[in-house]
Amino acid sequence: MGRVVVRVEGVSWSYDGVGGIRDVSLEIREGEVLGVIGPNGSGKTTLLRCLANLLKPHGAIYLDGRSLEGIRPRELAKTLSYIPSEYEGQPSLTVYDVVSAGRTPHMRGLWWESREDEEIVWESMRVMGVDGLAGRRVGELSSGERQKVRLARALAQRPRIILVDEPTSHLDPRNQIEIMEVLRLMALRGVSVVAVLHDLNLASAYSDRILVLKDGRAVACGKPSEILGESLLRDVFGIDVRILVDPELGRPIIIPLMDKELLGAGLKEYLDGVKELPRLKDTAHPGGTARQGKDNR
Amino acid sequence: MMTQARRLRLLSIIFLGIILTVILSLASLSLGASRIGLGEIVGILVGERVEGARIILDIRLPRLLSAIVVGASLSAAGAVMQGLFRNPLVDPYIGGVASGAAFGAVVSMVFGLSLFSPFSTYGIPLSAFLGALTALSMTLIFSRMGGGSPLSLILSGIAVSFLFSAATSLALVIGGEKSFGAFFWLFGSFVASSWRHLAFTIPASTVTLGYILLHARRLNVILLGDEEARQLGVNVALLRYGMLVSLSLLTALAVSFNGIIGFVGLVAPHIARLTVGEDYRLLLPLSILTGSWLLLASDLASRLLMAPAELPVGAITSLAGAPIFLHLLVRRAGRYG
Ligand SMILES: Nc1ncnc2c1ncn2[C@@H]1O[C@H](COP(=O)(O)OP(=O)(O)O)[C@@H](O)[C@H]1O
Ligand SMILES: [Mg+2]
Repeated sequence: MGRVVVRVEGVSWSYDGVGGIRDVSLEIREGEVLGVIGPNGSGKTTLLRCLANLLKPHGAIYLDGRSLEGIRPRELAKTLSYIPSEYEGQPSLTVYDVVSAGRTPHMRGLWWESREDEEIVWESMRVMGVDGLAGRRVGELSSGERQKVRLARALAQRPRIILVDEPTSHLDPRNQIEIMEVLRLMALRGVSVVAVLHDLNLASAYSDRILVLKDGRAVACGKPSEILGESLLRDVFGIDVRILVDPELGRPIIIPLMDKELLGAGLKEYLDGVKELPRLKDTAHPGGTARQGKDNR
Repeated sequence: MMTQARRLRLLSIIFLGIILTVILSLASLSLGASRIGLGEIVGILVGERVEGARIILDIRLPRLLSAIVVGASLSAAGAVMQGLFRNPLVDPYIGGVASGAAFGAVVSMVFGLSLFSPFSTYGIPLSAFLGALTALSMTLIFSRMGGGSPLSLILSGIAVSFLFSAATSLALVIGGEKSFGAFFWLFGSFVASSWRHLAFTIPASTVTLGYILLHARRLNVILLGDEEARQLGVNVALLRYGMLVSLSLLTALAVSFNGIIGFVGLVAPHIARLTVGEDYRLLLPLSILTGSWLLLASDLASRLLMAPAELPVGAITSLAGAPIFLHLLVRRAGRYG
């Protein structure tokens, strides 16, 4: 495993006294994929924003031994790239506009990109397979294409660290895998990738290590096979799972189990009552008790 | 190849821009209550003292230059505002900036505000600038209180606009007969353009436009969204303040001397955007040129349509601009709404 690139020591951030993260410590190593998992609101995005120096938290973050606060924004932008979970930019920008913005911290000229900048932009688009879309507006792309464009923007930045928030949410399986493969290839070339993932199996398959957050605290961090256990997942996500082992990769495969007991009492009561409600069509529910539907017609 | 293409595009914009500006300028010098031939105009411009020289040099030339400066300033201000707020429907008028500037200018005209007596010539523009900044701050604060959505920005801009228009009317009524000049000025016209004003507005607008142009590439990055722009090393807060001050200044300069000329700041960037897309390195120069053309043409129309009577140029731009604004609004609602 590579050397430590980023060291996070006892970092806390709260939004007006609530939420955020509390006393998180971790190390990010060269060339690893660090998956970050945790329920909604557990502080995953907040952690990434602290790492990207967009928030100024309590505690200390060191990049190559230097305090993050002491690094000039432009210099940091040459080293580290952050991709927020949603694209909040102008939908009318073209793919080329977005990807070439990635060269911003590197550009010497005042006005135009250099030839070298432009080559890097095209190469980044080719790597992500979006060079054919260069002139299209990002607002008109599918979510998979748009996500690749945003990743191409990060590649054009030529960073040593990529922080990416939910890169695979809303994507079909093929796009999910393509994105994760690119992140893994980047890691193989020495880039440290920190990826917030909601899909536990993607996290298990692609992460060298996984950080688990709950209520703003880091509750576990380690290899997928070492930390992804039934009791941890029950504790963190409040669900029962069955865990198998991938016969080829040796990685845990997580199967969430259905459990009606998880439902809140009110919802359960409501669902139990549903069969008593009038139905318009009784044929669709064999074994159902609904006859009342007919009277309503 | 993309950079190369855009570079070529910029060159052709500038080249065609100069040609079209020269043509419109010559038409503007030649046409009017009395017609002056092109040959004579050229003669006068190179220094011949013939009949008509007075009209050209003291009336039509200042008027023409005012139209160019005001068109360029309002369009640049509009283009920058649209990018900063990521909303193609705002301009200095809809954002309340121009109404604030008009209020400042009227107060200074009617009450001869002594606050700026050391700068007597600059009293009106300075007071307009303060009015513009105040209105802009109010719009931004109200918009944030209303949730900060694009719609809340427009609504609070309209509210602030009305507020300052009402205050302006009040000032005019209180001012009594001293308001007479201000009243005509409010309609928006280039009639009163003079070299004395131009000696102030041309350098001031040029410097401000230059400052904005220097930041064209950083404005591009803001279009990606605040977090991504900051992440790319751009100081978004600082850039935003610098741009807000600049666009207030441009609006104040335009309004101080030529009154209310609406919709140019909305329409010119829109036309430019349709032609070259979102890249500010092309969008700003083309917006500036388009704004100048629109006002040159509107000024001509204001002189010719009902000659020998003259229409307020502000009325002409609003007549042409309002339908375009509605079109934008409807199309936008259909697309992203
Ligand atoms: N801008 C904000 N203002 C107030 N509270 C916030 C803000 N962003 C996040 N929070 C709160 O901080 C906690 C962590 O949020 P976040 O880091 O976005 O979680 P995650 O990304 O894991 O879903 C949540 O309780 C959330 O409500
Ligand atoms: Mg999140």
